[in-house]
Amino acid sequence: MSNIFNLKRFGNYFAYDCRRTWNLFGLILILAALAPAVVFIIQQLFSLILDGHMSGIGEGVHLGFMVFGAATIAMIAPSTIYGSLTEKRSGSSWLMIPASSFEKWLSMSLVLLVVIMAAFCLVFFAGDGLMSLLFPGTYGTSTASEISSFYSKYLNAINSGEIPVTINFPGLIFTGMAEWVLVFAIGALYFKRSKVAKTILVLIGLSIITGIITSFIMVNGGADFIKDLVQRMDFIYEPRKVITIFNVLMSLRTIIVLGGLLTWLFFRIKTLKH
Amino acid sequence: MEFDDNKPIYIQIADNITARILSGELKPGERIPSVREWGGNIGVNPNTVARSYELLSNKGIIFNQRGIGYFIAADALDIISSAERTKFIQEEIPAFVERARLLGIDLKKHIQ
Amino acid sequence: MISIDNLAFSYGPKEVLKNISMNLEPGKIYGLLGENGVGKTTLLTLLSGLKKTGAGTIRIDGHDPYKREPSLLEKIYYLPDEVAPSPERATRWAKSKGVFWPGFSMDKFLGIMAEFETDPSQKMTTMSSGQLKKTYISFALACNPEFIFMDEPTNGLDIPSKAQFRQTILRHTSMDAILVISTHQVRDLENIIDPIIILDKREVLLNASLEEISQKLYFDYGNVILPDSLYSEQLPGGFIQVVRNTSGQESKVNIEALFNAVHKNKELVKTLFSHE
Repeated sequence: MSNIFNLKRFGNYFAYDCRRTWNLFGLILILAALAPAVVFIIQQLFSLILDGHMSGIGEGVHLGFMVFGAATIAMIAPSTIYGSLTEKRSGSSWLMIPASSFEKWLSMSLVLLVVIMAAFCLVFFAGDGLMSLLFPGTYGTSTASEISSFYSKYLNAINSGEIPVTINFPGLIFTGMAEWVLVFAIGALYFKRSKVAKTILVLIGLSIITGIITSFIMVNGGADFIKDLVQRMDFIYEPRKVITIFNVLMSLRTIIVLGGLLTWLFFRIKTLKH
Repeated sequence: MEFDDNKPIYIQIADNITARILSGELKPGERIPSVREWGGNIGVNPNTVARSYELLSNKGIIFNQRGIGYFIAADALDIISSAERTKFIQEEIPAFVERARLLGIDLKKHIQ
Repeated sequence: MISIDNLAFSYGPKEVLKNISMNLEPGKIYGLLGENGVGKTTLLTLLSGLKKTGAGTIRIDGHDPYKREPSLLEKIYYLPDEVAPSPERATRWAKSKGVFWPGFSMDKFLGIMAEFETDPSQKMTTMSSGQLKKTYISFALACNPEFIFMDEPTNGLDIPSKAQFRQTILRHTSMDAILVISTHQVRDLENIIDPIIILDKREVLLNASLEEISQKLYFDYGNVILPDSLYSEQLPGGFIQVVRNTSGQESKVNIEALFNAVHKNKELVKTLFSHE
């Protein structure tokens, strides 16, 4: 029985973690995912009472709900589910559970990055789809069909050569969300109180600092350096090459950031003390 | 079990077992609970009970059959009675006599 | 077997433990005594791997508990002074948590809960602190661990439960288990703890079995004041005095008096009980 990973033990732990997540977060998740449906119903009730008829809602409102909902869920999930780990009683108890730090980290990552997001999408599309079926006129098209029509437009543009490069939307969305969630997960395991607020403050602080450093560098020769660099890159006039380089750089950045965050999370778990 | 202060607990436990044998509650040849069980029943660490059992074993009141447990010796009653008689003669009588003397009581007047 | 070697630990600049060494042997129920704040909880959390040693080593069956290897964690149960309720019924909680300890027995959990007269079907968030503590104690013992570390387990228990606790500990722990129970309510654990470890500001004042203590110290309950007493206290019926045992006669060890005697005569006790 390996002390780092054992399938049966991990299975037990993951099931335990999912159950905990459901107990602590299940209701919030469902509410957030059904938000558009709920808001729609309330809006229509008011509309019926005040105007005597149903009113339509604007385009893109559903997508807005989805994005906003997902972002909010990503922010509050880590502290709601794992926030108690920084508290002495629950934290000690959790640390003493016979599973390896690796297994605990893997479970946490899966729950936050896969399970919650998948559950959210499932419930969202179900509720949203149902609403559009029941109230086609007023609720509008379901987000799912909006997304698929957007995607087919995009595919057409690729095939006809309008857009020179493929964009990995799911990949981008997933990694973007993952980075967002992981930052808040790390914040949840470091701060004891007001975890979300403090994490946001730290993010703002960091962006201010990087902004200042970047402008400083730019002003003091950075801009000239880049101008030189660009002039020396003759391939700048070949869009394909530029795009490839951009792609590589962005992918590298994502891997480094995600890898870094995941590693940080692992070490935080491994060295957590009470 | 209530413990008074004067004697070490392991001796008090041994005395208690001895008293129960005398009263007939525990019979010769009968198995007594293990050190752990006895300790668990009265809320005392097994180490302490083990010393009690050792004391009683040394006196021949109980014996250990390896792998099975502790048993009360067949002649336990005799051993206990004779020990108690010796104690009465060697300790209690002199103490009694001394106390009467201190109080100025003439024993001959009170004993038939 | 647990080996603690030159253990030191500080909270920032504050030194809490310094030069602590001891070997804890199987089959013994160690009473860890000490004034409040002296480091009992710190020692227990270090033994459990919840903290990292500042200096020195702790080895449980050869393993460093801070590594938190599941194979070792499965043999340990740490019961802290304060426990948190889970928003579910005790049976459900025990069932979902018990899967992680290979030795766990649900029947044993229910049996001990019954001994404590605590209803396992109750939701933990509605339990009193005493009932919650008893639930955790039942769970700890039901895991059948080889190493049990308890921090003030009788805190929050009513008087009948304290007596029940003593019996339960003795009945439901294995013969080879090592128990370390800390307390500052010595009477709660009287008669079940042996050996006695007394911890003081950063060092071990005493680590000895009751037998050894009663061989080296004599506890007098009479009315005659003895010279050279290490500690004396007036009680309703007379005195309790602790003196060096010169006659070889054994007396009943009064742990509270022992505690006070040790604190008042630290150097003497150290020499008396040193094994060098």
